[in-house]
Amino acid sequence: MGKRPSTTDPYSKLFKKDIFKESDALDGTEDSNPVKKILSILNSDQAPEKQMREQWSKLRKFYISGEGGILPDHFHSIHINPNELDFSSPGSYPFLILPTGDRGSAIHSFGDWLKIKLLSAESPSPMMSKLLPRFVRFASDTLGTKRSDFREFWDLISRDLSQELELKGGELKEYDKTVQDISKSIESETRIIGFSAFAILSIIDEILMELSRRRKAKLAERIDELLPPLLELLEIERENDPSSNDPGHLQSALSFADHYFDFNKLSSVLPESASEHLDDNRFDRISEVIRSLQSGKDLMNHNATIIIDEDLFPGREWEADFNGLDIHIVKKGEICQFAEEYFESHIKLFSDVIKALRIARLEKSDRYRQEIHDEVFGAFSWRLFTHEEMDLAAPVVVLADTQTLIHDELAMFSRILGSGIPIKIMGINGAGETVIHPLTMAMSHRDTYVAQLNLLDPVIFYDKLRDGFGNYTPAFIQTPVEGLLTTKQLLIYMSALLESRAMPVFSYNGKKGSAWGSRFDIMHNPFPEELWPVYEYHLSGEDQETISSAFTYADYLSLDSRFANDYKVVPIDCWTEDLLPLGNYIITSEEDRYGKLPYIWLVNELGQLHKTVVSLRIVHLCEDVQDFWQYLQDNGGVHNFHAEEALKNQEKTLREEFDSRVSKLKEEFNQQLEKVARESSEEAMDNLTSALLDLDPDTLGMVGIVKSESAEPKGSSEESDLEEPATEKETKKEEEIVKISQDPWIESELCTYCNECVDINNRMFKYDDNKLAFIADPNAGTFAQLVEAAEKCPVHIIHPGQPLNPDEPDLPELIDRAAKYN
Amino acid sequence: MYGIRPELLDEFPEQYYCLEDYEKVAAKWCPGCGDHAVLGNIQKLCRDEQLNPAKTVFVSGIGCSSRFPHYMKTYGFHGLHGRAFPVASGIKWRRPDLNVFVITGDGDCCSIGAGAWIHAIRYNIDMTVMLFNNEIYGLTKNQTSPTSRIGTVSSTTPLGSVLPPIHPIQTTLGVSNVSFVAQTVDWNPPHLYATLKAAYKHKGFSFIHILQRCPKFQSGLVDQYTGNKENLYLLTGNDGVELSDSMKASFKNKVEHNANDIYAARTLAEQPDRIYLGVFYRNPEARRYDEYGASNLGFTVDQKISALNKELDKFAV
Repeated sequence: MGKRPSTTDPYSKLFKKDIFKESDALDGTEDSNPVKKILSILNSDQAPEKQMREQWSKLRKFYISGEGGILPDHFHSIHINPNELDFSSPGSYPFLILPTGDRGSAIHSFGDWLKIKLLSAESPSPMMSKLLPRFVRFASDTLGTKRSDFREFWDLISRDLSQELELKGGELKEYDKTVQDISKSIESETRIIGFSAFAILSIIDEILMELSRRRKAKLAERIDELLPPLLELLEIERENDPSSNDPGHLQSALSFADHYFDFNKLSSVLPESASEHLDDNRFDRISEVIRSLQSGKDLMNHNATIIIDEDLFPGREWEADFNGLDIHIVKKGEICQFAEEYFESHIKLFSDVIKALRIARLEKSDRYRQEIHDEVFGAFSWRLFTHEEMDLAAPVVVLADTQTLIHDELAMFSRILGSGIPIKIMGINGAGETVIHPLTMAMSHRDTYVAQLNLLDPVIFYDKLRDGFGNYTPAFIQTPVEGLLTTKQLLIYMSALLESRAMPVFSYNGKKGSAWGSRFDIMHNPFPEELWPVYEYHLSGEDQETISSAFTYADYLSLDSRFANDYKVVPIDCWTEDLLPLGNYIITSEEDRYGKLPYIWLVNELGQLHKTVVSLRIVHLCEDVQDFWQYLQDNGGVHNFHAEEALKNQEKTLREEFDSRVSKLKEEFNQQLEKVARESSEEAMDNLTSALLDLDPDTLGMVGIVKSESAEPKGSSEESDLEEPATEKETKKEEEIVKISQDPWIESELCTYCNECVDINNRMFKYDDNKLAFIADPNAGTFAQLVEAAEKCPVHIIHPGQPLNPDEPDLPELIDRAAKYN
Repeated sequence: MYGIRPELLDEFPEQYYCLEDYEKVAAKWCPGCGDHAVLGNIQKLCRDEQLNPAKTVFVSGIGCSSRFPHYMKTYGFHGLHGRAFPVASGIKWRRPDLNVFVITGDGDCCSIGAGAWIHAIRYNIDMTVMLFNNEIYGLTKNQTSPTSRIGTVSSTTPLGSVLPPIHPIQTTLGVSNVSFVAQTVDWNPPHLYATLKAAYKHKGFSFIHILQRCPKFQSGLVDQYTGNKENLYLLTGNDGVELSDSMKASFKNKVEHNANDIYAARTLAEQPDRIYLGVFYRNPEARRYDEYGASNLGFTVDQKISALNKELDKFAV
């Protein structure tokens, strides 16, 4: 972080001296006028190549060392062109704080509010709608930087404007009626606030007063609920006092018909007490609680405490604005110490009241057990408060210069954030001070509320600040404000801070959910999903050309006179492709940057554009700012690293799945294609064959005849010689087959495991490991059984062969039956 | 090392199941009954696929064939008449890890259980279904069944039946979301085995119509079937039934058939006088209802008991 500009002198360097001078206030001689010099280069007759080489070597030297750089007067970033500005405050100003709203009060820009009023009026007035911009402008000019009660202010401007418009007759009537209707509808306590550095104090005041109102109401409600029953309890006790039985008291209690009674006698016969007495401890305790609760009512006069750095807003005229706040002005270096001590002593008052409320609740229902509760309440402190009880205590707000916090008071500052003491610290950044590390340090305490806010949008500013103040955790809120700037300067400065990501708006609420990402909100920045906001500008000329340019941190730094030597305007001859826009240059890798130089667009008072190289130092600062912005984006759910990785993986898987399906489909298609081709060719062949057969049925017979005829003569001559050995062989073979077929056998493969054969003889027929029958032992049974099995086998796979035992009865018949199956 | 195929020796499984691990008691079907063939081949299939008996369940209805679960040493459910499908669907729905087989007969499936049958086809829950069709009621001793052909003489139709029979293949192919339909015969064990295997491998409702002999009451049919090989047609093509070449060669008639083409399948089914063997239709993409059931599984016994009690408490008076 040491790279960032920092200074102990808060109001020095920002803005080069000319930035808001009128453009005709040019000074300087001809020679020293940079605009003319550039133009002269453009018109010079020198050889461009030589000139270019020299210029480029100068530019490169400048880039590394910053040597020879100068930001010419009247040159401004293309994004920050004061000549283009024709308004003096952002669109949401002036704004209204209305006492009624969802959360106690609502905040609206005056323009929006008036528009809604005009549109929702019973009889909308077209004339008034036309006058709307005029109203806003007039209100803004009249109010200036002040804060005012809105109803008074409305009456004032509507009267003044009507005079200025010189309305007459019907128009005047219409105007007056509308204005009065609106005036009637304005609630009291509505305020209007103009754009200025002090708006921040007005907003703080409004928030604290509003929180106080609600806090007081709650506290009063609690006390009113519990105090009367306790008072009643003591009243009863007083009635039970033994002295109440004395004759004088009795007489005074019965003021009429006293002559009928002898009070002395009556006193002696009355019992000592009507009921039991409170024991002394309880009596004392209740009395103490009642005292505390009554003093709690005094606390209600106390609104909130604000502790301010003595150097922060010099000139104390703003103090009057804080109505009812307890203001402490403290020296630098002692602020956090003071705040902590103050908080501890101040919270003690509240903790007494809270303790009394808790005891009162127990006493009211007679649930106070001395042996337990004495100990608990003996050590009672604000750390035991519930969140609701913490809301009853008046907040303590610290306003300090961020530089003070991080230099002189870092230890105490960090201690407050880490210890859970609900002090709300606002770090005010003066001009030119942009620091990140107090924010990241505060977030590192995790439970804290951390925000960086910008006055430009008062609605967000108000909401986020209120979230921080209403929270029961420590809070650190950093916001840039510079009291010494003019309104227009302030506007430009604040916009540049926001646009260039120098001080992005975000909030981190450590108490919001367990998911780290859900605690961040970065959505109120310009183009929150982009690295830098990119804007388009139209160029004059017939081509309607546009250029787009990123609003980088370098554009912001061009406002800062401390960096005036870090810019060097590039002569137009040197505008080559080696110049990269800074936004692109930063995201280019180190190797690819070789030979290139980063530039931003500057514009002179004539509206002419100039590419301007920035130094390496500025590039480093931009990288640093970009890095923090990416940290916020990642946490805020934009370009989250893990989400994007998951998305990539998912895409990859889907792509692979898709590819494999495509290839599968292709394969199937090819197979189908092949099959169809094959089938059709087969079909064609079949058709051809059958066609041939159909056509010429006799040809086939002819061939056979021819064959047999041709074979016959040969065969007939040698028949007797040749046939003899052949028949011999055949008969030998046949004999072998007959011999083999004499053994019984089963075509096991076709066995249906039907148990027919094994039921006949389970020693002869068996099943193998695969449940297929086979003949295990042909001698284990009779030939009759074999034949029976063969006959019964439903699939006819048993072949009985020839009988093995020639002595078996009825063999001839059995052999006949078996022949069918052999 | 009994029962271990050589190729399994390389990777010796933790427990190897032999045929005995699936055999319970000797089957009490008549000798010569086709049921034996299916039982033997199912046991072989279980052994070859190494199905864990503790993870296998046979569900049947009522009938001769439905005695089947008694003869398997696995889990079994001998259920109500015609209600094998709902029970099996329920089992697979909540226990997707189990191998579910359904045994049903022509009476059980095509008569009393026809409603459940139609919806089970449509549900397409992963199970292997064997319809044992012997065209007669055997267990109750010879009554005409819905699949008996015209003229069947039985105790309920002594003059011969008059209605044309249901053809289970034709019916199954007519139901939407049908996923696997095959036909085989019990008297050709290699084809029976190969068809059972193809059906088991198919994920979804695999329906096998098994033409089957009843030697007791349909003995006339037995010879008509087994003796005549002319009307047997082997379907060849992409049906997943793996037959050896010699077995293929033993079939005289072969018909090339695309099992993905339901219209071709239906055309074949319209020819009841021819017996086509093989897979008529196969669609692995058909939607499976059990894929929608296998959620919120894994309750402990205690959780189940408490959930049951909670439901039962609703009826407390």
